[in-house]
Amino acid sequence: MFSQKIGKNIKQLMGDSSGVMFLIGLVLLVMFILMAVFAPYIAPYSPIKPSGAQLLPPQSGHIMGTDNLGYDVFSRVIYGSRMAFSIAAIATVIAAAVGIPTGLIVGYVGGKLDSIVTMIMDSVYTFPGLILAIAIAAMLGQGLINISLSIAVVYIPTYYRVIRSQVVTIKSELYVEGAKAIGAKPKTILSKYVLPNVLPSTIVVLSMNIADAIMTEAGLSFLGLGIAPPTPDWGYDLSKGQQFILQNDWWLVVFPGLAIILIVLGFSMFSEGLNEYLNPNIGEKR
Amino acid sequence: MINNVVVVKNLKKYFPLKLPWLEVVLKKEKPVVKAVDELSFSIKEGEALGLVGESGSGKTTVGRSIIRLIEPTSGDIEINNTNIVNLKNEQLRQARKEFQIIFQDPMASLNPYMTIGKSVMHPLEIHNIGTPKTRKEMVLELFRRVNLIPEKEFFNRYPRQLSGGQRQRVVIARAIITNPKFIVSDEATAMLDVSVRSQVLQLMLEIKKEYNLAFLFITHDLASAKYICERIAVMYLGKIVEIAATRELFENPHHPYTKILMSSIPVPDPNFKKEKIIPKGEIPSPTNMPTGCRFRTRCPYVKKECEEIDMNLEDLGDGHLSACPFFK
Repeated sequence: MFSQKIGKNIKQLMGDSSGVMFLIGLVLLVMFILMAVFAPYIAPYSPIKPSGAQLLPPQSGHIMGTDNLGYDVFSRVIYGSRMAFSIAAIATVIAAAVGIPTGLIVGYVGGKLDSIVTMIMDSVYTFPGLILAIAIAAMLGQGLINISLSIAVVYIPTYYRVIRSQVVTIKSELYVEGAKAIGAKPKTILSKYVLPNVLPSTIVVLSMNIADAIMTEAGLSFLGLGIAPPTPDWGYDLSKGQQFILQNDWWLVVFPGLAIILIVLGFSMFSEGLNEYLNPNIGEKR
Repeated sequence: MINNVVVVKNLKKYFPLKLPWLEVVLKKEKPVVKAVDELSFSIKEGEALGLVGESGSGKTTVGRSIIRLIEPTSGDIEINNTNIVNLKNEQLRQARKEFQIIFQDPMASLNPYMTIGKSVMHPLEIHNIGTPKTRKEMVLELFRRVNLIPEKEFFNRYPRQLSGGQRQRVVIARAIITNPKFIVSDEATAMLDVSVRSQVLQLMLEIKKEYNLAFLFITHDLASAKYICERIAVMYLGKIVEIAATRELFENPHHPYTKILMSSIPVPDPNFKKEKIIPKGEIPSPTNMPTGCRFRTRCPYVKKECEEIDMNLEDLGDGHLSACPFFK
């Protein structure tokens, strides 16, 4: 996925100081989380009510200017983080809740079930993520849950693949055979012997997927398939702003765009750093 | 009369070879690897049977298939008067408290995310032995027994915090906590360094006596087999070629293969000149086994008749069985 590539490249840039990278990622994330949680206290105006003249450039009072309806861009960027987080979180939870158990069970059982499910998952995986999400979103229509669902479908195969490949390796480990030898039930073997050993890689995938989900969500909103306006949303603001770019009203595009870039960067750096700590060898496997 | 705890009759384990589909269609006979072929032996209460042979002779396959970690192709395996070949999943699962296995690699046979206390306690939970309180007591007592002291500290440690010898003690503790009748030790000491090896061997010997266990001691190290086992079976390419009491086997080896193995044991005396018998060539491919005696391609005493003999074990008296009809 895309955020993974970003993470990799930053890691190359940073060389050995991946601890610094992790820290920067963490700081960015904490910043955005605080922004989302305390949005009503930080934002100077309501994001869905006109607060001044239309298309004001950045100035005191409107540090990021106002848009074509007179909404304060700064307030919308602040509130937009809420939407980004909630959709990304819901989508990731759904994807993980489906992908992880499927990968566990299918990987452990193996055989024909494995070939069939893997084929299905791979065929989903080969679709470009955004296009698949567009298709599903277009079918389901707007709304928080629908958007989250269509993003989740795109990321289920990611979990499935990572978990399955790990399970296939781990199930031939001696301690799994040992668990069989002491008479453990398959359920117990999966929950006590296999799952704890695949979980570290899951956490990394989880944080990477949140970043990807945020980008996909922004993409969907940009195309008008996201949340119904005037709910503040970075992707929607971006698409609205690009209509005015020829008039040199740059602030409409730059600030929501910057927000997206920073949050994705934050997640990428955070997860790549996390990866370093949790499982130094898994990088190549993914 | 001491009872037989383990009776194995005509155990076979064939592994089908995977072929490209075109060859599967074209070939009539599907090639199989005969890893274990018509093996029969028994182990008495409190007795250790050594299973020795070089790599690829099928020792490990025997160890795993007689406790059904891999499914045997055919044959009967009686443990404690129950034929475990016919057991269904759930019955087999419950029967597993009667037989255990100790693996070769103590680093890999413990779950890295489980404290060793929990690892050893798990069989008790699975088989519902004792109460949560008494279980912990049992584990701690066993830790003391296998010399993991201070046992309370060890209880909460993770496998990575232990040395190889300590881990193997943990694995031994886990194997005996359900009070089994039979233990398979699959090269349990092969990966330990020599100083630790003797301690672990000593521990296994003591435990065997205390619990009156039947032991299948799989190894390629004749010296440790001699130390632990009452009887030794020598395996070559999936067949037992000779079984005898340990002393009898060492003093009076009958089968040419056993003779070769015996002559390969180093003697710690630089002036001792020993007659060395070197086998010819390499171990043949198990997919393309020689006809007749499987050892004939490498046997230094090979005769024309060897192409036709079946490798049936013949009794030479006193429980000494050999698969070579010559050398009477």
